[in-house]
Amino acid sequence: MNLTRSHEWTARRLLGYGAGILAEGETLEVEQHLRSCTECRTQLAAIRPPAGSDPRHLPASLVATWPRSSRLLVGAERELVVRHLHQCELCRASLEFVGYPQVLASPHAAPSRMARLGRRWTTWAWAVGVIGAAAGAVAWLLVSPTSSLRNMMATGVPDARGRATPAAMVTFETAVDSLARSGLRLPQPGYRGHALDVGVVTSVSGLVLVLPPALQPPTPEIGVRTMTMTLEREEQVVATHQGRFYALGDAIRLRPEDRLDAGLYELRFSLAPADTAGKPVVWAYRLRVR
Amino acid sequence: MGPQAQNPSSSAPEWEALHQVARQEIRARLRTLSAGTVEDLSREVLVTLFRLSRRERLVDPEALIHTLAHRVCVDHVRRQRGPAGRLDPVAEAEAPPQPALPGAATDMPVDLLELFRFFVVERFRELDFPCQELAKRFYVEQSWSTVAEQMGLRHPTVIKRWARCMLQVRRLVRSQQGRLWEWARSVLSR
Repeated sequence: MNLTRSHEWTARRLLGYGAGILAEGETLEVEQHLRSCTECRTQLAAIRPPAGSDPRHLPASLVATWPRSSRLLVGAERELVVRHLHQCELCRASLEFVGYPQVLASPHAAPSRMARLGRRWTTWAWAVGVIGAAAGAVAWLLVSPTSSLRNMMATGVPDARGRATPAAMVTFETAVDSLARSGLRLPQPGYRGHALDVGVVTSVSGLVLVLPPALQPPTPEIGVRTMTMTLEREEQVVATHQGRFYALGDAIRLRPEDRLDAGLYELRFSLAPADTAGKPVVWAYRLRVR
Repeated sequence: MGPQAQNPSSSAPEWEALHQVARQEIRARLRTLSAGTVEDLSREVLVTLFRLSRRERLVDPEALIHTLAHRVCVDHVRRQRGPAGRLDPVAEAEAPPQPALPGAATDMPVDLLELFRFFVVERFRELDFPCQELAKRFYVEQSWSTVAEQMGLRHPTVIKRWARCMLQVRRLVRSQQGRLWEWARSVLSR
């Protein structure tokens, strides 16, 4: 690789290097080039965190624009921000300082989905060139039980690789009757051998999970700590719930809006630490839904 | 701005006055900004200043505002350029706004680079403490050579460890939806 090409190649990767996201080989090449290139070092210095900023806390730009930017957080990063905010006094104080509530604004999921659908439809209509036919197709798609639009609205919008993104349509109910029929007794944590077969999960009865002793607070002090429950499928957050540990009760219920799609899910219980220096305790179960 | 959150002691900074200074400093650097953007950026300066004030007594807050205002302007220009743009600082204070490049999150007011760093550090805080230590050091130093020196390790060893740490984050980058992940994919595809 000659020096000029190496310089251009490196300049394109400086942001990735600063984010720490490059692959091992690329990182080594960028560092090698940085040793001899003042211009690249200058550019990199521009993305070095400024004095006063700390990557352990919510970015100042997020706090400063909280009502708009928190609305745009979805999935894993939204869940992480919720948990962080619950535990971090400085970030809560920063929000209070600028006069914003310490909760995230509701996400913008629906408009972006419709916007994407709208773009797809416009392209289709132009290709066919018959607006009336497009309107007819819209009507058919909405009423047909097998239509792709209907399925898409029920299961999520396909991503770039054509895989459906699960929509957040499952709610957690806590402190339900642990003697409910069809309740599944969760084994003690550490049981990770194979996925638990939970059968079909519908909106009628949902899925009742009877909690093991480890998932019940041993002391009142631990009971007031925050417990976050997260249901994930293929690393996508399907639903999340946060509350006091004691509020879980003996059993919980996962209730989907419609029948839960078949597949493997991960159900995670994350108990907040007693202080900010501690680490949360996490229990995870794999569930196979038929 | 929420003055109700101030410390009422006599040495507490005059936040309203400092906010005004921040607005002026930003307008002086980027004169073509809309009033809304000036407000966003000046509030960003104040949030950083507030955090600093919680850590130590601010000796000369106006001088700090001068530095922080310059920095938010540099960051703002970078955000507008998007992941495909150059990273070097603002050249002309009065330059007209440049058209956003592909991948620029013009409707995303948060700095996605900072948000990504926060996500990585926070995720490792929950799942993997040694990886969090690497992340914190690297995001401050922006150099694996320096991190390796600080930790008394060989340079390739540190990079190899970090690559292992980032495996799961890179998997998330490939699979997750949302602005943060779209940004990360753009950065990786350059």
